[in-house]
Amino acid sequence: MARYLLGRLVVSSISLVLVVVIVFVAVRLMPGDIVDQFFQDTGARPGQAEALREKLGLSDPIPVQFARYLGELARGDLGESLASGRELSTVIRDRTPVTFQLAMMTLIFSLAIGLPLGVLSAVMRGSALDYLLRTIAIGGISIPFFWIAVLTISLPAYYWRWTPPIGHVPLQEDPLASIQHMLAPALVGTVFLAGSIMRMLRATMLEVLRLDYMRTAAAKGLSRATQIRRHALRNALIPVVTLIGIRFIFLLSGSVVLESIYALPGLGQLSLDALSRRDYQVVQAVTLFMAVIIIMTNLVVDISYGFIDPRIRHSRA
Amino acid sequence: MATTGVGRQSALGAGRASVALGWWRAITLFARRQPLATFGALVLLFGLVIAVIGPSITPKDPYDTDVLNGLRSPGEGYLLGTDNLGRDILSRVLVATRFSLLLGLAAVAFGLLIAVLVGVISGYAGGIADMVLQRIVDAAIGIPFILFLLLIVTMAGASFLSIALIIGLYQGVTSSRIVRGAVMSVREEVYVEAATTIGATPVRVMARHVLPNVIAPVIIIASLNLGSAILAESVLSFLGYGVQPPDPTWGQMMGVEARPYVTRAPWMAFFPGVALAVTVFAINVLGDGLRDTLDPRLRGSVA
Repeated sequence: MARYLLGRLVVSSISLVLVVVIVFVAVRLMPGDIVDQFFQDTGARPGQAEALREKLGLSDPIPVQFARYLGELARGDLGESLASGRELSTVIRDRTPVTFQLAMMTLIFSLAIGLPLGVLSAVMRGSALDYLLRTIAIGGISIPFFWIAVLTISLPAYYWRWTPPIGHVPLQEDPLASIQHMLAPALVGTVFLAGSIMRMLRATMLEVLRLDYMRTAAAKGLSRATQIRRHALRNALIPVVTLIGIRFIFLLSGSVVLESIYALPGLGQLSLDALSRRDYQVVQAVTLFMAVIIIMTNLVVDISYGFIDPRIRHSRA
Repeated sequence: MATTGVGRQSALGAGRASVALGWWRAITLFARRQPLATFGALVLLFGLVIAVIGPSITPKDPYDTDVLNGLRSPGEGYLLGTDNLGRDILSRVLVATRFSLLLGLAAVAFGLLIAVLVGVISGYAGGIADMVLQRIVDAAIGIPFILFLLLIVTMAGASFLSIALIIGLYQGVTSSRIVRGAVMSVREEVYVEAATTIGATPVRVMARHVLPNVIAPVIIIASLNLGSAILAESVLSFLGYGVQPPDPTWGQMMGVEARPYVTRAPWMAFFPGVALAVTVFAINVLGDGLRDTLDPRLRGSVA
């Protein structure tokens, strides 16, 4: 196990290095840089732009910049924003709770809706209700979430002159207002995630329901509810855990769009702003931070999979 | 000689007829077993027809601006209303169909190529090649998809080709895992061992024995990736990183164009979104039906 863990960690760090290289090169290959943007409206005196680039360290050859960046990373330093000069570890620490809260609220709503409906759909297999639930679930994963997000603002505003609260209130300041402000984006994310969980759970429940031990459970006279709760659901949930891990990544990715629509100052909005401003340092830091979370999530999911189900060996790569 | 020739020809003819009959039977059986998927197929077919003839059946010129008739609500002369520049929404939605569907198909085709190439090499060769390829896959999965897309598309410049290639590349790399898994299980089959034993080269074994047996997951990946490819392009256009105006795309219509008027003209975002949602829904129900028919074991592995 220790050997397996160590191996996985080494392998994960290789992937992280790859992410760092890809992002570092890609941001610098984007047309225009932050200095161009800075002087776009005002115009620059001759030499002014070059001086600024020199100061920001953008005039060095890319390999030199990369070596310097790696040196900083090795010391645990994420660097500073090119635009604001703020320490990026601080910026990320400020922004993370917003994205995390959105992800958690979405996850909780999705589980609350997706798990019972998924079980219902499987148990009632072939019924009209099953058909309806399946159609709803597939609708949930098909409907563009950014479209619903825009509609949650535009339709009530047009017809009732009302919009769901926009912006963000920190959880520790006023928990109720904070949750209220994040209700709309979290529910929009839930449409997709709950649909996804329903589909997965229905499929795994159906597999489990026809196994021998389910017949045994029925034969020894357990009530249908106990059969399902104690024997079927427990086993059917295993792959759903994996799915939740994978979908967590989707939530991080979706936060880019949702945070921009609902004006939430999270990591997604930060990265989107940084990208359009060509703030290389911020883009690098946020993608690296997200990549660490994603790769760790995958690792934890893989390991927990082995713990939940001992039949799965860790010998496979 | 002559008689064998004739005999072979007629046998071929009969074979063809029964193949056609078999296809027809398969389709009617599919329609009976999977009504929702069949509905999806019909909607998708309708979408493809619109993609082909869309530009010639628009009630108005989709590019023609008419500021005096800007922000007209649906109804009165403009079935789905007009945008801020007075352009007919219906016409623009119709014209944009071609772009979305073509882009999705191109991305998926390219993605399949990558997925099969990476998956087969990784799953069949194993060892160092597998190790190296899988680390690249890990890295790709590790970058949040939308950020990756925005980054690389800005880098390469947004065009039909670049967006299709980038979405395809990402989908191909990430779905190669499923092909790899399928290849790894097929590799252990007796018929592969038999082929190797009688001296077939690795390439021949791959092409003649492994590939045909992983066709089912490949078809399923293709159908489910098509929906996400179309969605991915729409997110990109929605955020203003897609192909540049005036060529309309659904994402751009509900994003960059509609968002400034979000409280004044909800129809600007509503109708392109309906077109997008219906298209993706149709593709996904079809993909689901195909998956259940072709390979029910995959249920869950491609969510």
